Parts: sequence; C-alpha cells; structure tokens
Amino acid sequence: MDPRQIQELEQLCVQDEPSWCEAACPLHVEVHAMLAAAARDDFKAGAAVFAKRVPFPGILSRICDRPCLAVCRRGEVDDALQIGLVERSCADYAGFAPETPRPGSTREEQVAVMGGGLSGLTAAVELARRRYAVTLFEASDRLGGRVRLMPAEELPAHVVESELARLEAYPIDIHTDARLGADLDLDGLLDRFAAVYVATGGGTPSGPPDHDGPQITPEEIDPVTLAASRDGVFAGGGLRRPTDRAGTGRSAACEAPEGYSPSLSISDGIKAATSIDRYLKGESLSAHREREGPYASRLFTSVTGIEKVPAVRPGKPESGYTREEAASEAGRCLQCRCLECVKACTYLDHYHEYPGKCIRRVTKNITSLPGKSYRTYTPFLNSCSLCGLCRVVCPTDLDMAVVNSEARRVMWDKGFMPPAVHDFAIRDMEASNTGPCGVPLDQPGFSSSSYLFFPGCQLVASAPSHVERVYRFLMDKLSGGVGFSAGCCGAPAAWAGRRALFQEVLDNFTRRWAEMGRPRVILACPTCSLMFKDGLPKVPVVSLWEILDREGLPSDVPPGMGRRLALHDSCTARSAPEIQDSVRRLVHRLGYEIEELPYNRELTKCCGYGGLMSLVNRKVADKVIDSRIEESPTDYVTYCSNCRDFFAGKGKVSYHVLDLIFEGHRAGKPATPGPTLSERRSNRHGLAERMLTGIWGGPMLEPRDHERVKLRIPPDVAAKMERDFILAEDVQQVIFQAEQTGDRLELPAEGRFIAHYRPGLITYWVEYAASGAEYEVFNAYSHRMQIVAEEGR
Amino acid sequence: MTAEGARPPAARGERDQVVCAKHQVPLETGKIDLTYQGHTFAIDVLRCPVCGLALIPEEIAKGRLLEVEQTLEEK
Repeated sequence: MDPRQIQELEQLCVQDEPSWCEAACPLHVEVHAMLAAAARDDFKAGAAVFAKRVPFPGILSRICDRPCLAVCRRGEVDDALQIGLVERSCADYAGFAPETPRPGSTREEQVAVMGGGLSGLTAAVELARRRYAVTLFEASDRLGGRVRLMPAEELPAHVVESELARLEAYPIDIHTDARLGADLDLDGLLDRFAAVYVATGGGTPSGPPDHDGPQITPEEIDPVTLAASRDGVFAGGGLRRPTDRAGTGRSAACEAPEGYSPSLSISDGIKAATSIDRYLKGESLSAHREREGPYASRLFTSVTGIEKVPAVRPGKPESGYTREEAASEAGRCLQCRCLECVKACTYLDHYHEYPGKCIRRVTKNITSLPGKSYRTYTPFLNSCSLCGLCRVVCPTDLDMAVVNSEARRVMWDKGFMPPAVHDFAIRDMEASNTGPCGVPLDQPGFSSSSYLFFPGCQLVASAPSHVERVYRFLMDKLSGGVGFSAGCCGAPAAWAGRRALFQEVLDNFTRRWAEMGRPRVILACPTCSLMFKDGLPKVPVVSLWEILDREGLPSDVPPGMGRRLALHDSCTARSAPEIQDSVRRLVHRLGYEIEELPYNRELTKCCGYGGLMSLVNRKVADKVIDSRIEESPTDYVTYCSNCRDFFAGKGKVSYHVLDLIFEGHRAGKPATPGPTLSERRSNRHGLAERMLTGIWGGPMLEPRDHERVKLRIPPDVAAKMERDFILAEDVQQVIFQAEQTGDRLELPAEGRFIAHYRPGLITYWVEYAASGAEYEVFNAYSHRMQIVAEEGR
Repeated sequence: MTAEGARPPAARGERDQVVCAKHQVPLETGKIDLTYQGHTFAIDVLRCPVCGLALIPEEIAKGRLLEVEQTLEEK
C-alpha cells in the first residue's frame, strides 16, 4: 500500500459521521450537543446550538415536524428522545439571542424572493447574509405564511411577531400584497432581477391562493438545486411538495395544515440561497450537495446493554417540560457514536483516538518530508500490537493493523523509521537464525525429512526442556525423519515494517527446507503459523496441537482432574479456528475444564507482545496485559509462550499447554515468571548445545571470545538491565572490548572501570570491577546516539 | 547483593576521580561529536586529555541524549 491507499481507508471509519437525528434533520441541528447542554441544565447553550442552524428558532422550536424522532437509536431500546419538547424547553428557559444588525448589500446582483412563508423568508435572510440586494414579495398583507395557521397554544402570535422582527436586522426590501400572476409575472421579474426564488406554495388563513395558477410545477424543480426549468428561476418550499399543498390554505382557519413540514421549508430556503449564490458566481449548482437535505447517516451505534429508561412525560403537557423534566429527558440521549474498536482495544483507548483521526495523522506522519514537519505519530503507529481485533468489531471491517503495519513499511522504505526502535527484536531474530540450530537440521540418520519441527524462537527461549521433550516424542511417533530448527519465522522483521529483511528470512528458510525434501512443518507458535501462512503459503504446515490430537499424548501426562482453566487464544491465531479447536480438544483430553474468556477465539486480545508493542511502548503493553488478565480470576492456559510469560510476569497464574503436558498444574502455587531476556538467550544456546551433543552426537559448542567473560550481576542491576533491554551478552561485549584494548576509564578509589562499546546500533556503558575470575557489574546503561569523534582520538 | 542506594554507581559521583586507565591522567572537559538519524552535534563531556576517551555519564545518556534522540526520531 502507498500512503494514498492508506489514507483512503479513513473513509471506512464511521465515527466522524453525524448522529442519525442530525442527519435526518433537514437543517442538521447538532441535536446531541443541544441535548447534552440541556441535560446539564444549560438551556442557553442548548438554544445556541439550535439557533446556529435555524433562522427563525423561536418559531421552529415550537412547531418542528421532528423527522429526528423516527431515527433516534434510543427508540430501539425504549422510547425515542423527545427532542421537540427539549427544543421547546430551550426556547422557554433560555430564549434565543436577538439578531445582530447586518451591513447592507455589497453585491450588485438583485435577487427576488416570491413568498413570505418560512421558505421565502429563510432564502431572503440567507441571501442578505451573503450581501445580495434582496426584494421579497408576499401575496397577503403580512409575512409568515402557514405558520399563521398554527394553533395559538402551540405558537402564540407574539412569538411569530418577535421572530419576524429579526428581519429588521437585514436590509431586505419587503413588499406585501404583491401576488405572482396578478401583480407580477416571471418575465417581468427576470427583467429586473438576476435570479428569482419562488416559494409561493403556502397560503394565508383566509386569503386566496397566493398566485394565479401554478406557473411552476413540482416536476420541473430539480430536487438537488431547486432550479426550475427557466434559467435564473428557483423554486421550493410547499410548492414542490404536493402533500404540503393539499392542506395549504384550504384548511379551516387556525388549524395546522396537514403534511406541512416547516423544517423542510426552511431547508429549501437555505438550499435556494446556496443555489442562487452559486448561479450568480457562475459555479456548479450541483457539486457536493449530497448532504444538504435529510439523509441516512453511516454512523454505527451499538445499543446492546443499554438500560431501559422510558421517556419523561411532562407533568403538564400543555406547558411542556419543567426545567428538571427537560434535563432528565435530555439525559437519556445516547450521544450516539461508534467507537466499537476503542471500546475493545486498550491501545486505541490509551491514545483516546478513533481510527478515522488516527489514519489522518498516520498518513501525515509517513508523508512528511524530513525537516519539513515533525513526525509525532511514529510512537503511535509503532505501539499497535497489529492484532486485528479492531477489524473484527468494526461495522465496516476497518483494520488498524493494516494501517499501522503498512505505515511502518512505508516509513522503513523511505528511511523515516528510526532503526533503533526495533533493534532489540531484530537482533534477537538474527541471533536465533544465525545461532546453533538456527538453520534446520535433518534428524540424525536421515538425509531428508518428512517433518520439520519448528517450535519458534520464543518457545525455545522460554521453555527449552519442553521443546527437547516434544522433539524426542515427535521423532518417536512420526516416520520419515523429523528435522529440527530453533530459528525465528521473521515476525520481528515483518512487524518492524522491514519487508526485505522478512523476505530474506523466508528465502533462507525455503532454501534449506527444499534441500530437506520439502518436509511438512510442525509449528507450535501461533505467530509462526501466521507468518508461514502469509509469507510461505506453499510450505505445508500443521500445528503441534493437531499432531498431538492425532498421535496421542506422551504416556506420563499428569492428569488435570477436572480443574478449571480459562483459555486465552493468541491474537495471531484469531483467524485460525483449526488451531483454536485443536487446543481446546487437547486441554479437555488433558483432563481440564475450559472457561471461555469474554474476548475469545476471533475476538481474542493480544497479550502485549504482538507487533513489538512491549518493546516500543511499555506503558501501553502493561495496560494491555492488565486488561487481559483482569478478564477472569481463573488461572489461564495459553498456547503461546510469550502470552504465558507476559501474564505470569504480572503475577497471573498461567500455563502453556506444554506446561500442562509435562508438568501438570501447580494447584494453589503462585505464578512462575518466565525467564529474563538474558536467560532467554542462554536458554536457546543451552538447548541447542544439549540437542547437538545429546541427539546429534556433536561436540560441545565453542564459546565466542566475549562469552568467556564471567559476570556477577546483582539483582538490582539485572532488573534495570531487563527494563532497558540490555542483555548480559551486551555487558560481556563491553567488558571484553575494554579489557582487550585497554580503552576504559578508571575510578581508582573504588577499583572500578567504566567502558563503552557499540556492537550494533546501541552504545552500551558498563561500570564494573574485576573480582577474581569474574567481573562484578555495578551499572549498565545505553543510548542510541553514536559517538563519532572523540577529539584527539 | 548490592543496593543502589548503599553503593551508588560511581558514574554519578565525583568526576575528578575518573582517570583514563591507559594514560593514568584525570579526565578534562572537552567536546565530542554525536550523531543520530543523520544529524550531528557536539557536547561537552569529560575526556582523556591524551587519547580523548570520553565519559558520557548516565544522567546525560538518560537525560539530554534521550531527549535529543526522541526529537530526532520525529524529524
């Protein structure tokens, strides 16, 4: 993917979509904001939100036809919000600010508006705001049109008068008793005016139709632009809605006309003003107008788990809500939003971000040229576990794992990714693949293999003795030769966005695998399974759990005795139901009862290791681990050694499936943390040596020079090294170099030395003292900056 | 075995106690160039007046250098 394609994914996020009520409202009042204000008893703010989109707020707040009600999500739970009543409360308890006087017209073009109902008045006001010279013609002797037909208890005449007084703020030339057809005709108007808006569909309580015969029919009005068939003529309001017209002016006096939509009339007025403005400027009438009228929002809002609270009924219906009733009703608003992924993902929640916004920032981050602007979103895109839970819970399948992993690739390819960020994991991968047993071996006595056991570098590091026992078991059970590799599948390179390096790992593996006779690869690590599936689709694989399911368990397995364990699926097995199923069968077979966690199988959560999250952002990783282990008080069973070690490292009793097979459960005993980073390295080395000597009959491995440096590291220093990703081997290299070259500083009074060395991208500093055949380590720290020149050296 | 408080790493202690082990001379203040992410700049640290071997104490590594590293990673 290129940055443009990444950016396009933003369209999938619906969080930025307006709420359903706002979209259904022809005027797009920000209903949720109005209700939020009313809920905190701030009716003034609520009234301001309403008036922001409504030209005659005092009128509409009392007679709105409320298209929002039908789409209110709360209606699916109990009752839709009584938005209209809260609107009225805003009017009652705060009122709307008076109009501020507007300057006169500055544009030369004259515009005529026919009809002094809501639609015409709105168009006149909107055009005057845009500084056009507006002349308004009304057929009757007063303005207002059909609002005059509303029952006085709903819309008192004094409200109408005070709202119409808003017109005084605008330099609009108003003519009453001017009827289209009788006093005026379109030809004459077009001679005098650059554009005409015809909104004559209404009527007055007792007056005749406000024009003689329909000069414009609804069919000739473009619904998007309101342009009529004649150039420069626009028409809207009741005129283009026959259902509105049926009741118009024909009803008995003081009776609300049937089917009248004041909100649509106002909306048409705004729409017409926009069209006329564009028409007079020579702009496209139809471009980008999809969302001017009512439309359906794409917003997704889950109503699952929402407690039923029926709508507040006003104690005195005739006078609307009291302040308290209105605030209480407004408080029922769900404040619709999606955030399905943020609810499920600790990482997104940590950053208080939703994907739409993140993608905009990620895109900026990967397209900024060096030195032009800061790339402040690098830590964000590097902190994602790439687990893909967001995609599963997203109503549109948007996957932040795709966004962030593609962004990492782009950054690496462009040279924007600081290499030191993922250095530890990359070196760990390289140590596995270049170390003993990194390259796959055939079983002793075989020149090719039917199977290749590939336990995964992290399982080898975490549980070397299990790996050895499994390998001996597999050699015993399977025929045709079972090869072995302690190598790494390349996940760190893939996660770091290093496509070429990942490919190199895959190519090296494939070459050796082909030499071995293309064996079926037995995988024990769900991450390896995912990497093989994505990177080596032609290599046949099978999970160790399926093999054990098929071939049976070792004979001396300790029984589970029906003990209950909560099963944690690895995030890299999210889309591998066959692995999930075989592990469940196996755990049952071992005699355990399985508890399913709330987030399981396809919905499972990461343990904090995925995507190199823990390396980049310990704080987020800690939150991720905590959130996962808090899902159940029951002891956990996992099938990934990192998941086991991360949970156990936080005190959660957790077993790897192989722990259950070879050791059984340790009822009532505290969690056993996994090995430290340094121990993981020595575990790998130790296992390879044991297997090469014990199974292949080879000699002991010759240690490298720096490995001969014997260290004594006090626990506090070891803990600090672990936190800072400093390995014992790094310390050995510093001391070895210092002792070899003599390049070291001395603290004579204390008999200590300070030295530094940069074996790769990181410079390590060690303070140490010789102590017999060993070196005692007093401190170790590191930095990423490289010393280029030490003056005089 | 060792509590940090009881026996603090000497790198945090008196600088004039540090000598170059090879030349047995006390360190003196001098400049070194550091580079990261394509940017180079100089800082004053203690170094051997004879061979130039420098000392970047932990406070600087975890303070100013870390700050600069993080800034340069965003550039």
